[in-house]
Amino acid sequence: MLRLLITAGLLTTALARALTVPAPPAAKTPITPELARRTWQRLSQSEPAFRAKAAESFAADAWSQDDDFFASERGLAESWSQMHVIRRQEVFAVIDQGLREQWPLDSGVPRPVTRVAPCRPRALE
Amino acid sequence: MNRTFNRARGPWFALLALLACWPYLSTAGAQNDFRDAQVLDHYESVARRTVLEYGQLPLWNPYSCGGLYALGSPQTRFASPTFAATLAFGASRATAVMQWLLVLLALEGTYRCLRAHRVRPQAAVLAAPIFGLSGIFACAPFLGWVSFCGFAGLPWAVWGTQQALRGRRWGVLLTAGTLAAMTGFGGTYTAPITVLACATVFIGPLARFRFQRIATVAAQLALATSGLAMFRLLPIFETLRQAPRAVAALEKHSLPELGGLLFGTAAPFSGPECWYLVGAPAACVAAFELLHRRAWWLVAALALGGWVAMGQAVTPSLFLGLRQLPAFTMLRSPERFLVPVALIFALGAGRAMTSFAARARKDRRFAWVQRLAVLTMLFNAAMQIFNFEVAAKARTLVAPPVEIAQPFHQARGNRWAVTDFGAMNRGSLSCWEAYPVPQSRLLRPDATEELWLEQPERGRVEQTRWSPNVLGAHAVLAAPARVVINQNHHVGWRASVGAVANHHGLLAVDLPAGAHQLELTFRPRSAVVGLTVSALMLLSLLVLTFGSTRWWLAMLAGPLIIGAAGWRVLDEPTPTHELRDLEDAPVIADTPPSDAPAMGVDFEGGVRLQAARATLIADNLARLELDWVVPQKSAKTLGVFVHLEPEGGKSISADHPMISGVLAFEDLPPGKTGRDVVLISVPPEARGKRISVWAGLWALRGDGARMQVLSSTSHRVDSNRLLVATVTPAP
Repeated sequence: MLRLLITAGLLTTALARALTVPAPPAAKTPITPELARRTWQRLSQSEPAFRAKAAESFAADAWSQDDDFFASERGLAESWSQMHVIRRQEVFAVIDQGLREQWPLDSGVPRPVTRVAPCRPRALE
Repeated sequence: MNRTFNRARGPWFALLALLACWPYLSTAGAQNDFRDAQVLDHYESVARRTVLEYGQLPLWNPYSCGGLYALGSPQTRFASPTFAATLAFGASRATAVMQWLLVLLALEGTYRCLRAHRVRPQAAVLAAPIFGLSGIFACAPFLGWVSFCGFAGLPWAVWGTQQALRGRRWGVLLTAGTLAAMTGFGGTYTAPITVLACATVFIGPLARFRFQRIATVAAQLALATSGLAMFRLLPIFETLRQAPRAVAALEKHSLPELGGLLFGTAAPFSGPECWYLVGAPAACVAAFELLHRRAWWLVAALALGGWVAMGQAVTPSLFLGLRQLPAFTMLRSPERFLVPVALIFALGAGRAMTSFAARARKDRRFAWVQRLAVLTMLFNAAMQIFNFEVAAKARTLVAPPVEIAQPFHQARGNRWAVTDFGAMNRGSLSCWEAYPVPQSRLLRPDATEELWLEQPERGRVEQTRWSPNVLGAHAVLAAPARVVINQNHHVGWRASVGAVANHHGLLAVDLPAGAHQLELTFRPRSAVVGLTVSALMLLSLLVLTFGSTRWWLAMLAGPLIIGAAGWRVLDEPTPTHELRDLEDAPVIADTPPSDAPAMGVDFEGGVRLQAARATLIADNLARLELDWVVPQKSAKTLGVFVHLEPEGGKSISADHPMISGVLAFEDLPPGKTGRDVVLISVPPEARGKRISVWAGLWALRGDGARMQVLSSTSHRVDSNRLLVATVTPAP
């Protein structure tokens, strides 16, 4: 009986710990329309350089080039969100909205690419 | 004394599991931000949403890669009992709870396995953590590879096999049930490796010439396991047949490397995390048994494990041999075969401590050896628990994304942060999987509507219902037209009116003229047949285990026969398998294009380069086209190496293991032309320079040697590579 009680106690402890531990705090400031516009400009501006770097790293692999670009984009989204105390998710939401609604861009900034290369995992790694 | 240990093991194992998993339990509210964790947790969250929000089975996942067959994706883990925890607590919190429960299961399973090998209870309690707390359970979750914790079923499956060989029918149910659960839990590695471990159990009876018993039990296990796991095996088989995974890396590990993986490369309690940690102290205790002549079979099993894990570092390579078997063809990372090695060490240590106890009873002075062994095993367990702490700390944790209710749309997405998209009801076209997902090039991340008419002038269509497995639309058409949906096509989709079509990889329906209420339902034959066979097999196994019937062959073969009949009766088009290159042109052709410069160069391995050309399609992009033919079926696994060498500049490599990235040389039909088209980015520093394009073939497996150029009269050859073209991009 005692061992059952102890086991049940340990099970309860594990469950209670997992279910009650708070999530890390997320930024609560909502993104303003002005910041959303700047976010759209900043990320669109960076895209050509990210894609050029990716093309150099993976000269002959379209999926890897795209994937490398997305890694860079995520890095920028992360640092931009930290800098402006917003959620990273909001940065991605801006890109999504900007692409769908064709938000304007400053002159000279090319429109972000809207095609994604199909998944071809690298076989040589 | 032994009875006390036997009874106290429950709380003891629960405590060990709790201590080990505490760092994971204490961060259960956070999202693991590692890229693989993002994708795999996303799969689990999507499955949960499909069940809870839409009341549907998670068969189709529209949120990943433009839509994929969720049950047929080998890495999804929702098709197992653990999904109940995900449904109840959400993916992140459930992962920590599952890990704790699976470690507990691994400890108890190891104990039972050791007891079946005549290890005394005290020794089994102390030796069980060698496997139950081994590195795979500590480290796999930190990358999000939770499915590897399915190895917790390994000792249970082995124990079940032992019991089945002793004539206990519940052993068959246990082994088959465990393997089926592992398969549903994303067990592309865990299940095949566990099957191998179970096969070693047959060695003992084989040595005693009990052939009839072996044949009977092997047949029972094979039928029961394949039937019970059919709900998952059929969809995965269907997926990978359509899009086989290419594995071409040379993978090898030296013995010292394997030692580091098993025993750590750093001092105890200093890290870094150790993926297959058994622990050197435990290995020392196990050595007392392993050095004994009676333990020859354990040493043989260890040697086999090491041999596989060394991969291609040894010739012949057992790993490459295993890869010839169907379930092992697409496996990589031979070191993963070290997981069962931990069970062998546990068995060795358990048996050593059992013999210490026996000697201590005869000679009191020997008791100190026994005490030292106990302390050593406790110290080892502490080291292993510390390994969990180190691995858990290596994660990057972030706040989980916020759920945003809005209509579904495909987005460009980002697979490195894909949970952010799922939470806001967006699919991610940016995709990573371990196999080449059939993904349409026409998927749109910027569409304002998720379905449209291919011929808009013929009428109008509007979406009336959206859910993962059922889509609804209302169409009014003046003439027959095609409705195109912004998701990948799959043959499992059924339309209430019209005919489902494959529109350049997109899901589409051809509708007749008139007003239609269209309903599209995802109900693939492989899921229907697989689930039916599994349900029938479970019923059969329960009757066999708890009933008194002797008709085991009929009971176990019956569900499979019914499944085969159902497969024939249910109508479904065969998946189209036309391989296409980057430019959407067929990869297999009758001849090279008429304007392609002929080469006619033969390579060792029976491959001929028929034609080749390189052109510049932009200042920074070269297009290389190689046309290959094999007179007979190619026996060797070959890869194409391509070097672009600008004059006085750095060489650019464009090696690729498959023709146009989709067709292996051994799958190229003899006599047909394999059109190998590669687009290569030209870096700024190479522009304005004359670039020589060299190509050749190399052996993907084995020694990786280049294939010799056998005949070339008019082309330059250097180190078994051929100069196929030169280009000069504008400066």
